[in-house]
Amino acid sequence: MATREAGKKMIMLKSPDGMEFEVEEAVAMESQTIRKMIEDDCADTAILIPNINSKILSRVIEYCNKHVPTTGATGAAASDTVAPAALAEDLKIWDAEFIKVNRATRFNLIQAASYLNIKGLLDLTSQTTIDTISDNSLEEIRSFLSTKNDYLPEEEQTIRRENQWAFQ
Amino acid sequence: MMDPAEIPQRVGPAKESCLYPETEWHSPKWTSMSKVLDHDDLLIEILLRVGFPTTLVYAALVCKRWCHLASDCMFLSHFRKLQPPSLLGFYLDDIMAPSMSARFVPVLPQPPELTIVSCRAASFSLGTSQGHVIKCWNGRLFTLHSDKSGFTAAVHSPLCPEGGMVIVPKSILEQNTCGTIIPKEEGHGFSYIFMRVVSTNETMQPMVLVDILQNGDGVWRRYLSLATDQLSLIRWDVRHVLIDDKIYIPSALHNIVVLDLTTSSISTIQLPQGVEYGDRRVVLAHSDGASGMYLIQVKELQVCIWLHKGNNWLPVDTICLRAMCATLMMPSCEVEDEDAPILIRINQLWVSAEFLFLEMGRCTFHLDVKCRALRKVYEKSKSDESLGHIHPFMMIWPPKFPALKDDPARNVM
Repeated sequence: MATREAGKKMIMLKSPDGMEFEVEEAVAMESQTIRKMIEDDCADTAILIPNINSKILSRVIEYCNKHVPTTGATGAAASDTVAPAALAEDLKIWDAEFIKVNRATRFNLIQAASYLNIKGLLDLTSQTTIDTISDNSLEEIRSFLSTKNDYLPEEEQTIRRENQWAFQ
Repeated sequence: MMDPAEIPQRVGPAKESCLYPETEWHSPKWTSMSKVLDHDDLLIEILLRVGFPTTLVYAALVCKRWCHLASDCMFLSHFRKLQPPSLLGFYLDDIMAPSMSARFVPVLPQPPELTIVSCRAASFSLGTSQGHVIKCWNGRLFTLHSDKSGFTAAVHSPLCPEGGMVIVPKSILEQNTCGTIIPKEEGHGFSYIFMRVVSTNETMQPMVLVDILQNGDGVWRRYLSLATDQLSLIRWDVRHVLIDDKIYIPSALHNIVVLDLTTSSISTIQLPQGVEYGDRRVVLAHSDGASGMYLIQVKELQVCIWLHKGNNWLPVDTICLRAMCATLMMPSCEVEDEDAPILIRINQLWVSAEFLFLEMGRCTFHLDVKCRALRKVYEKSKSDESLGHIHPFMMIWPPKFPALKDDPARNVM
């Protein structure tokens, strides 16, 4: 079971809700956390991923499958015929579709990407929150994030004055 | 769609019991958003990605906890590493044309997050204060005005108009029309080093005099006076580099004179073999972090970068401009004839040699050392006789966050 295809080492990932996922080692190693475990020989053939339920873990694996450097059969064929720029464009479109998820899933993905240390996924999942910060008024941001304004007016004024360059 | 063979296979529930009960994932108390945003490390990951200091300051206004995370030193240093301060534009200043005041040329386009800052920089005017730009750093402008009565030095803050202009206390600057002044950022203020060489009469050895105006002090104090035969003149229009209390002064044809302020001593470094000054083809620069100094040399269509470490010069990078020039379709640079002089001069460069400005013919180019990208930023008009000096004007960093009372109860998970 550990070698689904000849020459490709497989790794078993387990979620805390009891699901198991068999993935290629190269795909699992998109996660720096798992890479380190494998390189340090801490991983036999199965790795328990705490804190990430099966629904989220399957999405994470889907992301890693798409983003693993072209070592897979389909990936290698693609890189022979498609220019890198086109591949990057394709990934961008794929990412945009991938991140069309509800808010809860997105925050779960942020948490998973951070724990598993997958930079690309963390960049992608954080972006909506960052856009919220850049594009909205402070009141809107606070209401979106369910955060209370705990500044005294004079404290807020001090920050604005000290960093005058950042404001109109 | 994915190839079915690529989809991870679910191999059924494992036999061992769950470490985390299913209910916890759906508990309304632990929504996924608060799990992320209440967790300092995850919020830090998000704040690190906001990309621009302007957005970071804005984010800090959301609540005190966010401000607390954004003002942490480690966070700020990580943020800077990911997003080095942007180049907003540059000041053009012709020292040889005293009637001309320095002018700002914006580097465009800027991302929307920096539009406000870029407009502020562009609308700033030196006004009647005149003077020449000696140095730009961290959103500030240091000008020096010289006339018969001596120097007037001032610090301007184009991005914070309320900051106004700070005149450097004069005394030592009065009656001195040669020498140079080097500002040194210390905490939230500045110290200034004024350096000059005097020779009292023909027979005596020249003396190098250093006066320092410490941050917070109102009076210039003599720091050292040292007899030297290695320096005859300090020119204020030559780029001196201050690293770790050592001033590196380009001197003679092949030398760098090092004035060590800690040990009050003078030493000399030879330029790398075969390298000599001349018409701005060799420039010294700071190195970030490591206590060494960079030297940049332009030789024909090649830029060579050296690092002085220990007592050696290490070649660290070589950039060939030929292909870049060809892409920009500059016919003069495609000439293969070795005798044809190609006039490339380094105009200015930035700390750590992240970029430099090169003059080629009538045009000025910005060379991004990391990305190997060359782009035109200025073309001399017919009325410009010489281009003068370029002073890169960078975004302010870091933001200033005041210490807040009643820091929120830390919600570390």
